[in-house]
Amino acid sequence: MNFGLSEGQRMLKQTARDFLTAECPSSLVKEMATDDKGYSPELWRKMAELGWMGLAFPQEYGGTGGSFLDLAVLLEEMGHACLPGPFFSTVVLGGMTILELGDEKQKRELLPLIAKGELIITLALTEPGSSYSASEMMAEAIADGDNYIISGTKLFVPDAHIADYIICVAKTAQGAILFMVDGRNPGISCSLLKTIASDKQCEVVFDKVKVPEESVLGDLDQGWIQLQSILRRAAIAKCAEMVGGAQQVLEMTVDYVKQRVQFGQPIGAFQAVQHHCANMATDVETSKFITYQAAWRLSEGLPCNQEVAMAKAWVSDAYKRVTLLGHQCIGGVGFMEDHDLPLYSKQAMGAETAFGDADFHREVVAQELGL
Amino acid sequence: MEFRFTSEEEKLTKEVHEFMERERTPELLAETLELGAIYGGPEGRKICQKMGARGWLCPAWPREHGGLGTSEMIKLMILDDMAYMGLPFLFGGASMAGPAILRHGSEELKKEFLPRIAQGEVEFALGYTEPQAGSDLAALELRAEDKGDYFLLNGQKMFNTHCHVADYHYLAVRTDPDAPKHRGISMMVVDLDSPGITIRPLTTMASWRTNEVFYDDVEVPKRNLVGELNRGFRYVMTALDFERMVTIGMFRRLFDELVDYAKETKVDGKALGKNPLVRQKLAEMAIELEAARLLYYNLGYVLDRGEAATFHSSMEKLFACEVAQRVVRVGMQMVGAYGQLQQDSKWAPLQGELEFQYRWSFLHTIAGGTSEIQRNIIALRGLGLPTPTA
Amino acid sequence: MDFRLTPEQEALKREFEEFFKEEMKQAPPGWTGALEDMFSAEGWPFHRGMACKLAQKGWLVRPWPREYGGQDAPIIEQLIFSEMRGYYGAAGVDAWGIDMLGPTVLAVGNEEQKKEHLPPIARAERFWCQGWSEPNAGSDLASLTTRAVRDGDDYLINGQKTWTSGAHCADWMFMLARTNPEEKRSRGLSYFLLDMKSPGIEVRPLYSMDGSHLFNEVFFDNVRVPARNRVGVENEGWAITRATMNFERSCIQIMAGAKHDHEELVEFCKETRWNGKTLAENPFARHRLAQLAIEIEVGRAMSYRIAWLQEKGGLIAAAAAASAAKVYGTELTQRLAFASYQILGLYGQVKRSKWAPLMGKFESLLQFTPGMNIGGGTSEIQRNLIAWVGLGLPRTI
Repeated sequence: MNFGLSEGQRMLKQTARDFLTAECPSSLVKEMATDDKGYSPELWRKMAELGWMGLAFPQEYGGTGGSFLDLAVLLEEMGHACLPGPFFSTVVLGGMTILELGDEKQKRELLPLIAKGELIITLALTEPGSSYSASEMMAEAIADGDNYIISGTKLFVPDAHIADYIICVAKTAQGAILFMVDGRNPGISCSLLKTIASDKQCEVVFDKVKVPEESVLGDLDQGWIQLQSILRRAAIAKCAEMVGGAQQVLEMTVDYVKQRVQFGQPIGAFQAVQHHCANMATDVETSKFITYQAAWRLSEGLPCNQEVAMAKAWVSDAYKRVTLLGHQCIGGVGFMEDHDLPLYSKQAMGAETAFGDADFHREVVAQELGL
Repeated sequence: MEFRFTSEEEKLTKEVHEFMERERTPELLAETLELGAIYGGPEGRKICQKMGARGWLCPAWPREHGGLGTSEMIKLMILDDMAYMGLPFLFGGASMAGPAILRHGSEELKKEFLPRIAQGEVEFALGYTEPQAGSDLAALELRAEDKGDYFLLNGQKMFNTHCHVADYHYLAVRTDPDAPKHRGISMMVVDLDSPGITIRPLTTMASWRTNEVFYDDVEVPKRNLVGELNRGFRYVMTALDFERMVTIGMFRRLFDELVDYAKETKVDGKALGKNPLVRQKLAEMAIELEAARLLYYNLGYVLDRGEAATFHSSMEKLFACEVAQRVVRVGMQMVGAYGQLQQDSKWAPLQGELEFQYRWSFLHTIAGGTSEIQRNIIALRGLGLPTPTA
Repeated sequence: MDFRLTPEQEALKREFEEFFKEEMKQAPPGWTGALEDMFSAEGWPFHRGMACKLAQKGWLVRPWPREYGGQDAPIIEQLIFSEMRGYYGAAGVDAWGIDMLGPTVLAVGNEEQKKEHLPPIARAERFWCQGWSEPNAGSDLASLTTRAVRDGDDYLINGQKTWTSGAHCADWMFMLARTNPEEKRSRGLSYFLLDMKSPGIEVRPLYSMDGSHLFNEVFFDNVRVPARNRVGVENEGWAITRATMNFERSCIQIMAGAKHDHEELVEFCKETRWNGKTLAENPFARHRLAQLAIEIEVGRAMSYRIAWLQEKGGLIAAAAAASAAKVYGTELTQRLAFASYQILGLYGQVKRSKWAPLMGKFESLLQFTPGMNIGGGTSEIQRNLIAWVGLGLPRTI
């Protein structure tokens, strides 16, 4: 067993850390919370130049040929910096989905543009009455000659309001189908939801949106199976971000308690505070390993249903615990709007329910146990 | 990154596993539980000596000392599998005194003990704790006076669990009562048959035995000093790092049995495993056991890179022991009233193991360094937090 | 043992309940009962208005002696009042003036101070804030450094306070300042009353992580305070702060507020369908709601016991129990907020808007609870107090 990063991954991590420390200070993160677009185009362009969008695309599609594991390392650093913006949507929900399910034409057309930072993509799945349940899905795609007509309301769609394409999951007679829908189609209306993490999730209404047959992504009759694969990837990618965020909270907390003096000494000398920090460190370490095990398996093409579910369940709870203890240790100042810690406690809340919360994934584990 | 074992590692551990399947007898399993998993009973010695002859007790030691020169990872794998198989031995010699002698002992001492430890022929009991020196180990007082060509020992040890079955005592003594407390401690190997040693049993709530040990004018030859005089505290700390590498294998097996139990047992006409709360709790335990397993094998990765384990093993021990307690508690909750039945009851589920494990579980977060101490170590050594000023 | 209220107490409880239930129907939209609601642009006039109504009913300062507008209300009645107030998240009670400053002046103030300061509170004319914490004196409050130097018949105050709830709305402040710089800790502190309109006082807002405005920094630049506004003896200000111990300190409001929120959540779960079933049918929701119901009842019992201890004169035991109730109550509220988040799923993160269940109340609560576990004495400090005062364990700091 090797718990260490490869040389390439170490370099990627360090580069990302240095770049994001300089280019994504917490002031930018706070600014983006109230910015409608939610990202800095300038920063986006620089990230594209670094090859980040195409990190896990094969070179033939304009990428740099990295693995999903490499992408996880990068996502961890993005979580560490609390990077705002549509990278996750575009690359994990969009690009990796097209890479897995797209036909040759779709891949050649779209992946290089994503790699160059010229496209923003997202996935619309959740609905008002259902999360990931097949039977409760209401959004419909009705076949109409060479086209489909899509109608329905999707919720919690990240970055839909700025997306060039929205991958919409809709029900047909054959089951669920994924459609690449042009985000600027007049039948689509997006409104931003105000969420705790200010992460630009949208309500997206599809009103008789006509899309050609060619916009179908993947196999017509494999909808739910394909969706499971997308969700697995998204869940573990989210875990990687969460691990980075948790690590930053730990670092922030340790730094604070070493220098904050009360009762004549740094509060980091008091056992209660030390134990909080030790608990945080243990949560961070276990989260790291359980996430990377799943990411590695996914990267290697090994079965990973159980490992991904375990990771998302664990990290959803662990990251929250870390932020709560961070608040206890940092005290009053950490409760202030202008402190960095709330960025992470809010990020933790948003991430907890994304792509299945802990209860959901524990049920997956129960099924894997054969119960 | 690589979250699987090498084919070499798998091959060797498979061999060991098959050996254990063949060799573990019901008598051995019963003896192991009765002793609280310490090594030294007659059945235990039989199997371990066979393992030792194959180099499996100290596989990471060099061949000259009875090992196979493998990675530390393999040693951890073997211990993990042994625990899973119902043989969660705590080796005072192979895991704690042995490595200390290997690192710090004189050539003479190494020659005398290492091969016999590796072959499972001799067992060591740890002699650290005293009535007034538990978490504050440096407060120990058992006095070793320099008498020229031997030391004269007087004092008392407490909770020295292996003593009644072990051959030697790996003893922490005070050789300089005037130095600051950490700096006046030495380590010695003492033959437990020496005149002047009295071992008195104490029965734990888990029904197995630990001991008080009294030293009255016990003579210990000078050559039995391990390493340098008055440097013993440092050696103890290293040994503790190793002692804290606890495998959760026994609890993984208990968990697997609980899953089987949930599948097979019907309550109010429905399999227990269909109860949503049972599913959640078992899933939670599966996840925690997996997280613990990864922390455990990370220790092998750290050691094989030549790094000290310190706060890594503290974190692993902390987490593993708390998970162990939770697994037992979940088990008790699952089986309901039946959980209180002891082994000899026909109605006891899982052969009454839950009830026994529950009584044992309170010790996990205390022995080998309390969870509070582990958290202190993680904070101080892992995160660099300051020590309190008075 | 008797866990019942007397018929008179029951009648009083109903009276309070009817009043608060009725009055709170007029609360500004989005009112949750959280402190910051009171100090908002819409909230403050509403709060003052309710205070006047309470004053008219003679209920505003019930715990005080009749001589100063109160009714000498026994502790249990104070608790009943607080419970109803907490349940309805009601405005109208200036806790700082009524529960802290008032009792302090009653206990150690001179006649002049009682005559000057108590009636305006009783008439809902004067609202107070508390100047305790400073940037370098949080948990270690006794180390505070804001200076008060004697100058003729006055003191000149220089320094800075922080975390001053409602300073941007309050009329007066009671505060601790250091009068003896030789003493670095509690023995050099004095207790002062300041008019917030005094020259030299500057209030600057501090915004909480959810963007709301409750706390402030307050800067003192040669603020002149007449010596007659010093309460008690110079340099004995710290001891004076304990005069509030005789008044109701059960933390029942926290438990009652949690009970109310829990009931709302249960109703919501019964009515809302998600993935084809009502939320109330979801076994995890049931389990969590049941567990919280238990914990809320335990919390209420803790609070009632404190009132009973106080009535019997067991002030030390009550002090430790009050710390326990505070820590229990705030951590319970946090558990409630997180359980609601787990039950509401994705919707739990939506701020007050069309898609937010229960008007986004739980999303707000989620963001407020970290502050609850810190303000008013952190959970860690409370546990220290329980250990030192309640269990007699040795103090190391």
